[in-house]
Amino acid sequence: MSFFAWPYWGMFASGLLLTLQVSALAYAGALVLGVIGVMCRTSRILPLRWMGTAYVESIRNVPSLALVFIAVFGLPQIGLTMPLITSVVVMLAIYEGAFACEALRSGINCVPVGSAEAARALGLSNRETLFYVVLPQAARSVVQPLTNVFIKTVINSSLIAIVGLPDLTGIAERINIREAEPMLFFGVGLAYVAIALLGGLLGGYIDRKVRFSR
Amino acid sequence: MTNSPIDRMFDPPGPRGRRAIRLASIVVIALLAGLAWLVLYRFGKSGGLDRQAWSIFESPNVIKLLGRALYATVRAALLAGLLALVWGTALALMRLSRHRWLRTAAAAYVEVTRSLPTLLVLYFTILVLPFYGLRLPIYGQLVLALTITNASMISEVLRASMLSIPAGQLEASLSLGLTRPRAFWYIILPQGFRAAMPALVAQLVYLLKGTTLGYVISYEELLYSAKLIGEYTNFILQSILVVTAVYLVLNIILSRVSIWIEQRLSLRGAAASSKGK
Repeated sequence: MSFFAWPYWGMFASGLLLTLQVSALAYAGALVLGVIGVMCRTSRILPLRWMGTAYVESIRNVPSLALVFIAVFGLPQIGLTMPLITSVVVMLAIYEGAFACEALRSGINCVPVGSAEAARALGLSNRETLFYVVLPQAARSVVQPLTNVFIKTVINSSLIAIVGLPDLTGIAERINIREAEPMLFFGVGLAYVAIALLGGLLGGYIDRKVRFSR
Repeated sequence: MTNSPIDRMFDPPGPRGRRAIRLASIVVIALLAGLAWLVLYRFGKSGGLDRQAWSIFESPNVIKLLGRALYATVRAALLAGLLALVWGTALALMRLSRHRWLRTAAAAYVEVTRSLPTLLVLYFTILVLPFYGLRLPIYGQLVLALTITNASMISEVLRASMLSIPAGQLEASLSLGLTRPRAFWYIILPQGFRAAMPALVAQLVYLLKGTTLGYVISYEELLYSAKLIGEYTNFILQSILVVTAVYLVLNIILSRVSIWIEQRLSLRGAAASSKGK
């Protein structure tokens, strides 16, 4: 069988597209939630801080599949129905958001206290210290951790195959239930490896671009 | 209370700032209470809080089923963890080997399996391996898939911790006449394990979460049983929420153990370095 006559190219491409779409949307949502979460966790308003901590600590310790099941099978019971793809993307975003929040917090932890002290000694106000000294340094050190969150989002997006969506993992299962086609597994596996590799390379490139030259 | 690095960077607020924070706290608490009430109201209105919906967890059969499911979950996580630890250690040692082909092969294996979803590996073991005559029981299939993906993560953790052991340790062992394998086995690996302990316990959290994939092969772990109970009693939201809480409690305990080990290690490290001074 020749390379181009392989009958599964169409399905493979649609699966790849779905995986990329779901992971991109979930990742965007996770970034937003991560930023909100880290703002809460570093806020001076204690109830917000408790809320942020509760979010991160509970979501990180719960299986992502359980979250997906709550949205897909549980919520319709109390009359809350969403399109399947929406509920899956929302739940993935909530799950990965907790990890994005941790990554962002580690970035703020990386900023030396001395540089904030120096900024204030130079007469910068609290606001200026935060926006011109602390946050720019924090943002530059979180590129690599956030890249890892993206790769994890892609890997985790395979869960949507369990609720019946035809992503990369889903098509590998569907076709193999009908006929044994091990080549498809290697193709799908390669696609995941390629996404992780490209994501890692892109993250490394951005990291090099934005890093301070020390 | 959790303190944030921001507190260390800025002066504590003055009287006016404190008043603003107090006001904001009250507003936030009121908003949160309102939100919680809204969720509970919505939940209660659709019958989610009815006595009947939760009384399913009083039935001894349901409790027995959940108990068995908990055992199945923990059993799969522990065996997969043990196998992944052995295989991961082997991979980490291979990546630190002096033979280039061994290093390259292990690196390629780790890089590939690290970026594969466990679900895809699980489908591979249940759909493709039987085609080549390898038929495992479902417990074995789940453990195999979890082992393959977790071993590469564990090997990365161990490799990093062994690389963080000062080079003098290996040089000293070699100059004392140990062969390289013995130096690794008796000197480097034990120290690497100790340094990696917090991360290895945290990996158990990941494994425990991964056992939920047993659902797709009808392995009767917690989430599968929750779905079963939910379909049988029509209270699926309640049953999934209950097992989610079980995962939460187990994993929080594991996370605390990991943090506790980390603190003990850093205390011991601090004691050792202060003695050295």
